[in-house]
Amino acid sequence: MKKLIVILSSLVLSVLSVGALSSCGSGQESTSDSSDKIINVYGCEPQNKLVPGNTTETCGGNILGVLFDELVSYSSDGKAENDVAESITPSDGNKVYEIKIKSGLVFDNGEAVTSESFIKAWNYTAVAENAQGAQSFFAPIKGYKEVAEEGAKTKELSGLVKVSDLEFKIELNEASVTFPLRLGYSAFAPLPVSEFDAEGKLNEGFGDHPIGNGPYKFSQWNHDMDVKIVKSDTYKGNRIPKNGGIDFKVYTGGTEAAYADIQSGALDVLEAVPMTQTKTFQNDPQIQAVVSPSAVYQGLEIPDNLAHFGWDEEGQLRRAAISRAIDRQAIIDKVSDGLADHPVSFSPNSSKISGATDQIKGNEVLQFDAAKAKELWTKADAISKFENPKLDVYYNADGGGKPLLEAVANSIKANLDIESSAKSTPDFKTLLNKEASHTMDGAFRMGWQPDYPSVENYLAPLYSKEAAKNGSNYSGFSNDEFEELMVKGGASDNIDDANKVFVEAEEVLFKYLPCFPLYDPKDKGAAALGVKGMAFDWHGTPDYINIIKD
Amino acid sequence: MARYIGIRVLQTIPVVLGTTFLIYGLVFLMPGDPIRAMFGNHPPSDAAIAVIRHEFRLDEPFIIQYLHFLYGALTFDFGKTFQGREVSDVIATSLPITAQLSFLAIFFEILIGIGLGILTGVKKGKIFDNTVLMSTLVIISIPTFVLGFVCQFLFGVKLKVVPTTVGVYVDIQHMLMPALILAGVSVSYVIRLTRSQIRDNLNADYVRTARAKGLDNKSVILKHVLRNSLVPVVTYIGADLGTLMGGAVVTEAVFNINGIGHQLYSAIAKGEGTLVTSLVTVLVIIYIVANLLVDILYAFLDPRIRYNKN
Amino acid sequence: MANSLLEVDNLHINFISDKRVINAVQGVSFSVEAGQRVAIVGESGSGKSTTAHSLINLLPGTGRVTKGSIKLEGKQLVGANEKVFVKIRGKKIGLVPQDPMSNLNPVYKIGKQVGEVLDANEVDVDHDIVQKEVNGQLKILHSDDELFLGRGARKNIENEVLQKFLQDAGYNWDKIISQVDPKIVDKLALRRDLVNILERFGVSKSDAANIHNRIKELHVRLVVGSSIRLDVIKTLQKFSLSQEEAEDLAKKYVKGTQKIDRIAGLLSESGLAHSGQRAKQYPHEFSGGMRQRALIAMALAARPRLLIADEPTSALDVTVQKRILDKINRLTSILGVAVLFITHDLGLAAEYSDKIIVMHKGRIVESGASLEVLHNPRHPYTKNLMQAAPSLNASRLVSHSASQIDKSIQKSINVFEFRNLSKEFKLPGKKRTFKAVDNVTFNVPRGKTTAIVGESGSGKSTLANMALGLLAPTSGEIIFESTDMKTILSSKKLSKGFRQKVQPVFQNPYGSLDPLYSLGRAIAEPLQIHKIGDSKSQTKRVKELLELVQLPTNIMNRYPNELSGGQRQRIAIARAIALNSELILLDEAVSALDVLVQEQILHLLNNLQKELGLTYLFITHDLAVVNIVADDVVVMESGRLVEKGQTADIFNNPKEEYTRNLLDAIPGRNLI
Repeated sequence: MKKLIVILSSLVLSVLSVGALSSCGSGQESTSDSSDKIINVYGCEPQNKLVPGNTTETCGGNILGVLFDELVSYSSDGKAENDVAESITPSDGNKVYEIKIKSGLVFDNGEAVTSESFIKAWNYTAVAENAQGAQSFFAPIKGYKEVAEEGAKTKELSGLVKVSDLEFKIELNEASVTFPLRLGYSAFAPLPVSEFDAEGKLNEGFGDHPIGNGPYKFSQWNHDMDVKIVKSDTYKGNRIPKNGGIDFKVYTGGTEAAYADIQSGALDVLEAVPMTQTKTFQNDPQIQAVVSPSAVYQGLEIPDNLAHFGWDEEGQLRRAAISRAIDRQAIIDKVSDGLADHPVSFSPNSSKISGATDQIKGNEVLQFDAAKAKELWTKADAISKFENPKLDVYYNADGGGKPLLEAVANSIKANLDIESSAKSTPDFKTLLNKEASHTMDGAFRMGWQPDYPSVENYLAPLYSKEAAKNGSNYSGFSNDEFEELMVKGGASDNIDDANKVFVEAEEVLFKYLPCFPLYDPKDKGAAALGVKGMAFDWHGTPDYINIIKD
Repeated sequence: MARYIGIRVLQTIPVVLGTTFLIYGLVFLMPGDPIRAMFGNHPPSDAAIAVIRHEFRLDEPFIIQYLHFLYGALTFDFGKTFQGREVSDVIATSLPITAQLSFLAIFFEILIGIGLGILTGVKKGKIFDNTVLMSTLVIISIPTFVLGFVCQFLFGVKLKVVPTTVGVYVDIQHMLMPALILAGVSVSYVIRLTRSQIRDNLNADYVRTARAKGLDNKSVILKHVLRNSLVPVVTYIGADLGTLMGGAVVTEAVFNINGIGHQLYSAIAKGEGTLVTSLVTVLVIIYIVANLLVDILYAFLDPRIRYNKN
Repeated sequence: MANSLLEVDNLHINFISDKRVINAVQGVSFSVEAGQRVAIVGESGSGKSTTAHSLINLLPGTGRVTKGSIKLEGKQLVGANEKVFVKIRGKKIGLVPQDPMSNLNPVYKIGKQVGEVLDANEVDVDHDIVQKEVNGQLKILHSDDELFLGRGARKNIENEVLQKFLQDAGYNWDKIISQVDPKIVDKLALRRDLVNILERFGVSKSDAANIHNRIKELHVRLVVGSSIRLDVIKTLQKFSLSQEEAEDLAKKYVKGTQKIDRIAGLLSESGLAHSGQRAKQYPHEFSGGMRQRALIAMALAARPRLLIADEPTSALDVTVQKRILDKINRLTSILGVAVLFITHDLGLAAEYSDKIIVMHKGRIVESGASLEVLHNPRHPYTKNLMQAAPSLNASRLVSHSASQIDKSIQKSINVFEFRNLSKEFKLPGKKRTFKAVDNVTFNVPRGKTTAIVGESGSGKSTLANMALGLLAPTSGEIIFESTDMKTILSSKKLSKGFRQKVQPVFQNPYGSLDPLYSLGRAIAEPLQIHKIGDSKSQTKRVKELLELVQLPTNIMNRYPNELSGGQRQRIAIARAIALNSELILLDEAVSALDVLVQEQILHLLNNLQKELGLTYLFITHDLAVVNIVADDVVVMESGRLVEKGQTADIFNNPKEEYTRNLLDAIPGRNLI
């Protein structure tokens, strides 16, 4: 018997010692200079390989955002500044843009950043055959249809024309005064020309260790474990890092474990406080709480396939009634612990977003008024009686939306006296499936994270006809007036004029309410004690370059 | 014995085939389009999506997909994940981690479980016995994730005696707490099982005979009681290995361990057929091997069980 | 008088069961002299086992000695430290426990378990502990004469003897030896082909065969690990060596042995054949008798002064029982070990002991020399035991009940006729089949008791199962009341009728009653199955049956766990006769009962037979019981029918040797 125990124990211990050997080193830096320190930040495993044109989620997006530098970059208050671009000159009524690139900029491998770098990268992303996730960002550019369709023969956007090594021209399908604002998104990053083959295909291994031109350069990627990037010594752009590098630690089980690590100091920066801690984190002495307004839009969308909720007068009345019946402030206080603002428009009312304003006609429908709600509902019933009135609200169970939507359902039920309950789908993709196939039998939560800081980005992709075909318009909303206004806005001479037109577009939305805002959440994050400079950028991403620790 | 093992190994094949078919089918039947879900609210053109769908063979009928997967599996090519990583690579990195966690947990099962089981079984003192029994009851009743979070906070954050998570530091020091949590319920069970076995065997006839032969109490316990008591305990622990490896999802999430449990969970959420099936196949094989080892171990421990023809 | 080996005085032992105090032993006093054989006889619950176990402080559970004294070799044991007991267990007092299976650790080899005794008691493996009378006292010598024969020693001795035999027969040993392959030279005497080898070197066939046989005989007599030098000398002299030659040889080679050989030797001493190989086996590979021998070897390994034999043969067949008890007797007298023999069988006690102590309900009711107690029992309880012990009684029970049979109904003479009945089983994995019943022919006449007698493995249970229609015969016929069983079983109606007419009563009174059924329901079940009467008449019938088996009728609503073994058997009998059956098949129905209870049940069965005209097919291994209950006897061995006939004939004039052996094995038979 003793022999058996000895054998078993030694078997077990030998397996364990393999583990001990394979993880030598604890990763703690011993340099004294804070500018060389590596910051440990919360990360998640990127959904795809690290290719800018194929990344549409934040796990990969956050990393690529600091590995690459685009034509413009955004300051902390959401203003777009030329970065790689020396100048961006509009012409032909904001339909054509002449780009001039700064000279002397290089990639991590020493290669120069040229107009080819942009043109080749953008073409690659736009071509359907390459199946790049961010393809739709290039939809405004002329020639997109030819490359994005089934059986496309061309592999180049006709709207991209090289003028010289440092100059190229972009021709759009339609005039868009906001186009330059978009160019800071990582989908528009340049890529080294040497990484493309003769047919314009990107080297397959690129995504495993990308070569960028940004403030940091790629160092190592241990799948599902971490992504290490270090300060680039060849970077000459706007965003010079104050630290020595970033270690994105992958947390497989979510932010709970990450929060514990912030408390114990094993993690420096966490960009999303878990739900279990939102009530208490601001009073937690073991962390530094970071709260600021966010750019995320949260709304409730009611698809038009629901009976009595069409776009006619009855539907408008009912939608307005629902909106009125929801006591948003109470929900903000109870569910969000006060860490959100009452919405006033279809974008968060933040100064960082160009065109955001609270002066929109019709936005009083967002104010809670139970009496008014009932009044509107009764008016609707007069047009066409809704027997057994009910409106269920849906969320995906793996997304943490349960308390919010239960509160919404209860609010509707209590204040409007109709049936309403919160229902869930097991996961996100099931929910998405139902939304996209227009088979939802209730309202659902709709969230939107912007790609560029303009109100336009909260409107077109969600409510346009194009978005209904190919994008995120799941409500079925299709309105000519809205379409015209969006085109008119894009064709304005300048941003301010455009923004004025967008206000009118929002007024149309307030009339029909395909989706209406629920609340403007705040960005909630945490930093370990001793960490300085943790803040959210316009986008809700931690401002990595400015974080330092002793 | 060799023949017996051979037959058992052969029996694995239909089990694996059946399981892979079933799992693949289930993933296939899951509602929702995994490809469309990849892009959230920023989908590329339909043509681009079609290309991706084609690359993962999701535009083909189920049976073709399954056969292709099977064919690949025979050549150890399990395909790629949606991210573009080799599935075998995913398994190769996460399996050893789960294995280490499980082995460490088993180690505690043996050490604490059998140790305390012997002590409570042999000693008749009430206080010690009751304390241990109550503790086991408490641990069994508390859900693993509650226990995990509480211990993580208490020992990791407040008292700072252990690291709060594992993450990239896959070593004994970091895995200590998670392994204890994972082993919690099993340890409790082993304590109780050992204890009752020892209590029973202390009253066995052959134990009395051993005493009658002139053996002192210590020899009686170590040589006779222990050996017979541990047979069911050891076989339980052996079988537990398979269970632990497959069921550590919660513990892995709490302590940020990149093991198979988590991989499986996220693969299911994303609807990744090949990854789910490959992972489940690995787990099935582990289960079968663990059970086979337990059966062999049992025959080794109890001479009345032999698998020869005689 | 010198101190007795063991003196027990006014011993009181208590148990605590369900919060009640049970006085198991109340004031027991007796003594055992050195080398004496004492039997304690009593039924279950008499306190005999408890007394015995208290001597080595191995009382189970809550047992405690509350009063009295136990003196071993003059030293007081009551109240002694456990350490004291550890020292005397094995070394001074050995225990042969009752159930051979549960008393052996199933996971260790037999040899290892025997070896434990040697280790725990620090037994000198080289010398035996032999007591010799020196100046009127038994002394343990520690001389070289007690050295054990080793394996190598035996080989050498045999070779030398071979040399002597050849030389005595006139052959030139050196010449022969020089031609033999040097590799086999020193194992020559052991070789199976010795005759061939010798012939090749000029030894005549008859001489070679003769020598080989004598060597083989010598080989058997020289037991490694058991024969001591003294024995070797004596043995060698029997093989025509002179005393001087024998002593020389013995002194030269017999120098002690290794533990592994001593273990084999111990097992040989208790009668285990091929002990060297057997020592490497596990308990489950042994038969019951073999296990008991192993336990005996363990008990005597450290040469204790007193051996407690706790019902050592109650789980064994009667012929095995005889052999085991004979062996114990012989061993203990050679070694000078006193024996305390615990048993419920008065006959056994009388045959194998010098002194009998009869215990009843914790007290000694009678004690004295065996034959004296046997022939002149004084206490009424002893008298009851005597009367009830079947082995001590000579004749068939006679019932004085009135017969209630309706003689007008015509029935067949024989209830069963078995003709050339055989049953073969196919063994898993093996090609040949196993013949459990082999060509058996006999009849079961109506109104009488036919006993089938045999040891375990004789096939009697298989036969019983076929008679009950639970097993199909491989060949042969079973005729039930003039109809072939095959016909009966193929018809639903006939089978049901059959079931009504033939009912079993099984051996285990604790297993045959469903613990969740009330007793009334258990008895009524056959009535319900055969749909006889309504619930009211069924209840009435149950009451009738209970009266027939002499149980109070209010027992109907109680449950089996409230009854004793004998009472449960009565219930089983009541259930069996509920349907007015023709034949009751009693499969070892009284084997598990105490002798007094057994007597009552046998009387009951006898009376019922007379009253109801029942036919009994009585299956048992106990010949003594057969003598008093059966009219006809069928003796089976290994599936074959050995002998059959009327009881008196079989018992007084057994024709077959097997039958004679069985009869010889009945303990106490020869004493009356």
